[in-house]
Amino acid sequence: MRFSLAICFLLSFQLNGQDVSNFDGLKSAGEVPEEFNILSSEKVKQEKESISNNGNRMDRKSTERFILESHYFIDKVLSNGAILYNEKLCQYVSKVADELLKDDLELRKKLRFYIIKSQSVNAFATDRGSIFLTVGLLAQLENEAQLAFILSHEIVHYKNSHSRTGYVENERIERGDGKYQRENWNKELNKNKYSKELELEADIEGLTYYLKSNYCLEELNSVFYILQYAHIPIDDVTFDTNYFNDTHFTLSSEYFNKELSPIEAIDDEDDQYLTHPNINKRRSVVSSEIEGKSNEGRLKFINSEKEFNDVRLLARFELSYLFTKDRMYAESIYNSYLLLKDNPTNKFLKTNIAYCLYALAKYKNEGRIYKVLTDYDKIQGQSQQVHYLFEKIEGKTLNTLVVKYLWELKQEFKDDEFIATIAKDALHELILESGARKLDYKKVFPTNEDENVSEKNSSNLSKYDKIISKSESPENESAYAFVKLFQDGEFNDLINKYEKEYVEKVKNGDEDEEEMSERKKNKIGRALGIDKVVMVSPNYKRIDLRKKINEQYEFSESRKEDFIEINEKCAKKTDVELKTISNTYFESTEKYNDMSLLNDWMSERFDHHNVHIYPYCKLFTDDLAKKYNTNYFGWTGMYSLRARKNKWGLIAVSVAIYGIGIPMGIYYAVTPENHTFYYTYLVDITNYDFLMAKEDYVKMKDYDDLMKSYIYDTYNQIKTKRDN
Amino acid sequence: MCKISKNKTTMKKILLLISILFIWNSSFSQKAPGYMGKRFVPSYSFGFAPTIFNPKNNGEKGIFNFNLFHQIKLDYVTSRKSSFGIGYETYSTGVDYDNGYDNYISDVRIYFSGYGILNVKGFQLYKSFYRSGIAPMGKKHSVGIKVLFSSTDFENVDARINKSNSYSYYSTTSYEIKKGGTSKDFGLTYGYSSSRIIFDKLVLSFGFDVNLIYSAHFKYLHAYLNGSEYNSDATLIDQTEEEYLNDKAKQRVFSSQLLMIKIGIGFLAY
Repeated sequence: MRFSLAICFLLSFQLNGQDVSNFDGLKSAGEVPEEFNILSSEKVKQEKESISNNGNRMDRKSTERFILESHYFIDKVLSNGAILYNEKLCQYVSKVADELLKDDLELRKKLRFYIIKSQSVNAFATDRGSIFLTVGLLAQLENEAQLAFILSHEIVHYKNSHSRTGYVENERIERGDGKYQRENWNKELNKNKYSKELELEADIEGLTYYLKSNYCLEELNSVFYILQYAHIPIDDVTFDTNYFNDTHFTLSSEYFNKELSPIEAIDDEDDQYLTHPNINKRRSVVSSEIEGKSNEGRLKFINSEKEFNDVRLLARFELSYLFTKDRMYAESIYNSYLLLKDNPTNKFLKTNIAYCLYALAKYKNEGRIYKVLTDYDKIQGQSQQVHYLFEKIEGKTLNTLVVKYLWELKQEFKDDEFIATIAKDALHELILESGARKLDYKKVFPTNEDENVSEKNSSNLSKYDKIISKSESPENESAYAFVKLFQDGEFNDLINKYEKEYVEKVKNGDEDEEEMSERKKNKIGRALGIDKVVMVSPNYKRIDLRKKINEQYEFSESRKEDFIEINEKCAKKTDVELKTISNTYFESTEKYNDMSLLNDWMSERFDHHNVHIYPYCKLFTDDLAKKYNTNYFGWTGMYSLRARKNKWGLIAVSVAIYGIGIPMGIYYAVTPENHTFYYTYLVDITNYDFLMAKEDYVKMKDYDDLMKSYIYDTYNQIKTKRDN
Repeated sequence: MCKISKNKTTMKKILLLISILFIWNSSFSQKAPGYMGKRFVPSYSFGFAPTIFNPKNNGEKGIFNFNLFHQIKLDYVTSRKSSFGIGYETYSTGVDYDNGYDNYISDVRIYFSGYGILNVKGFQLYKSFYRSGIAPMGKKHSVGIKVLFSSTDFENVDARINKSNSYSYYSTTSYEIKKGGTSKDFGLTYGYSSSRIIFDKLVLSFGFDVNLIYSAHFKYLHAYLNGSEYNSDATLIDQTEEEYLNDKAKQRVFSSQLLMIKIGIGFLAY
């Protein structure tokens, strides 16, 4: 019995922990789907050929516009790296879709399922058979049957071309065609009304697929709860107010809220301005459709429940990553806190909490905590406690907590470079930014005698001494936080070093040399002395307001290739070794995953703006630096705008000037207004500073020579070594 | 002998000035990208200016007649946004003498029924600042100094002199001008142009120059402030014939330099 229990325990640990014990973010797998590597223009061309020439000319035009815009939009979504394909979540969703469409294999073949790396709860279908579900949605599901209904709904959206008909109908409403000629006083209301009709159609028709399968009917009611409570975390468990405490470090009870806001469902009763019908209406429509149908023999799980739980657990782990990347630190701490209950030793979750604390301290010290912390009044349920804590906690105490938590974690995971880096930075922040001094922290714990004496003495304290003593309590709560850490030689050395740095800083005042502004650097140029760079997702976009939108899209697509080619040429000429991770063609899934991670890094870095903080994504991208054998990664692109000139008064004046005015006036009249914006951001992926934030704007067309000139300049600055 | 020595000193000064400017500009050279690494641009510019107030070198005047200029320039890119250049220019233009030379003191009048041809050669030293684009491509402002040497050819002037003789009546005879009509001028130059590069080799530019020739300009200003000493054409009342012709040359240099439109072609040498 004992033996079998041990086996069960080991097995369950292995099964439960096989994917999350070394969790390092979800990644796409297998072959790159074909649609990723076909140009949008080709897709548009193919689909346009299939449009019938019959019917209303205006509707045909609308359809053509829809085809164009939707293909370019979907391809943009696919190519920005925020999509997961062929990995466990997608595979599982596909299996459920197989079950639903086992009698309609033709339709099944046309569908592809992708997961969007987003914490929001959402799903949508496109007209070309790509169906997207968010990580947030999968993390909130309770069973497979719920997923089956959501998929049924989305499949109907595809099958009935809802996105296309919705687009065409919206244009009819805009034009006031047909039945909208009279009743079109509020176009938005009409659009929303039509959209709601399509949603109800998807619910009702989706039931046909659902009912053909063997999924449980009861879950058709509970699935709507997911929508109603999408704003609540994956669970609602009391946050332990002693979670960060130990024997000699206790957070004041003032930092915790005694009365938490109750959870309320999303109120969407008045749905006239919503694109979806209100949830209760949808629930009652679905209920009436299944009335009288037997639930006998129907199941919550057709695939195994364990598989569902594994997939959902992965989604929930990914949620912590997504929350942190999106700087929703309190949400992330609560999510990881919930997951730690079943995975108490999980390094990813502990690191995630550590990073969130570190980031919160950084933002608190900068006085910008409001940027990353939702007002606790707007949060419902138990997670409100976490928001309340970080809103109320004093900066110095938070910094102390961060250093304590991070250095203890550093001791636990000695070889982890990421933890070590942010632990050192947190200590630096504590001494140089939070106002704490080394002397504020005791090196030995109080003896019992001291405590007794202090207790005895406290009885002899005057009224005012007691008041002062109480008011000083937040400082006292941190006094013994580092007693154990002071025994760590590295900690001791660093705190002494930072203390000295602080003293020097105070002595010298603000005499530090001001760093050269980005504007000046852009003007005179930089000398970075870098030999190898990786350019991620080079981008090019031309907007020509004088031309048709399809011409603009097609031109942008082909010109982007020129842009990449010129980058390669200029890098070669300047002797910079360049590796390009293009988002037009993906050689392999490995490249796609790399691009995805790097784009996450950059997006997070941009969000941090002026806060000097290591991005969380560094945890995952440090390996890429080793893989590509360089720390230097860049993002570059060019945007060009052309439009007709509207300053005709100037032309008149110009023409009026004798001689010179006439040709100048003609030149002005026949040439468009041109604006070109070129950017390159170059970073050391293992750090946080921008080595180059090159932004150039010129009132010129993006001619080849202009493109080459700016791109060559970029690589010249990258390669040039600084004068000694 | 003395004149040669003076010229040598002037040349030395110019060379010194060029060297200082070159060294100063080269301090940025390490980070100057040029165009695809090329920073030295020899070019030829063809300039034209409408002949509104003075004729061109064949005597024609009018809206669609232009004085033509030829410039050869050497530009060297010194930083991302600037370049340094030297230029040589040459052109010829007409000089008309509407009022003629009239010296009451000497009782001499010279009438001109034709026009003189002013031949100008000049040197300039300038620095260009690229407002948009990276040197040598884009829109730029140039400022610099200019030295001009000019002389007049009187072959077509058809001068006649009117002089009182001993019988107290005037006789008008043909007259050959032997002296005058030269000028050495110094001025400031400002240019605005836009350069494009094609085939990664050729630099095409289009723009205009405005030049303020100081010595000639000064004469106009002086005439304006001291009207009683000047004729209506801003020449001094009591000046000699040679001085009159020199002033006329100076005036013409000033007006011909005032504004010119340019089209240029250059190549990226290295």
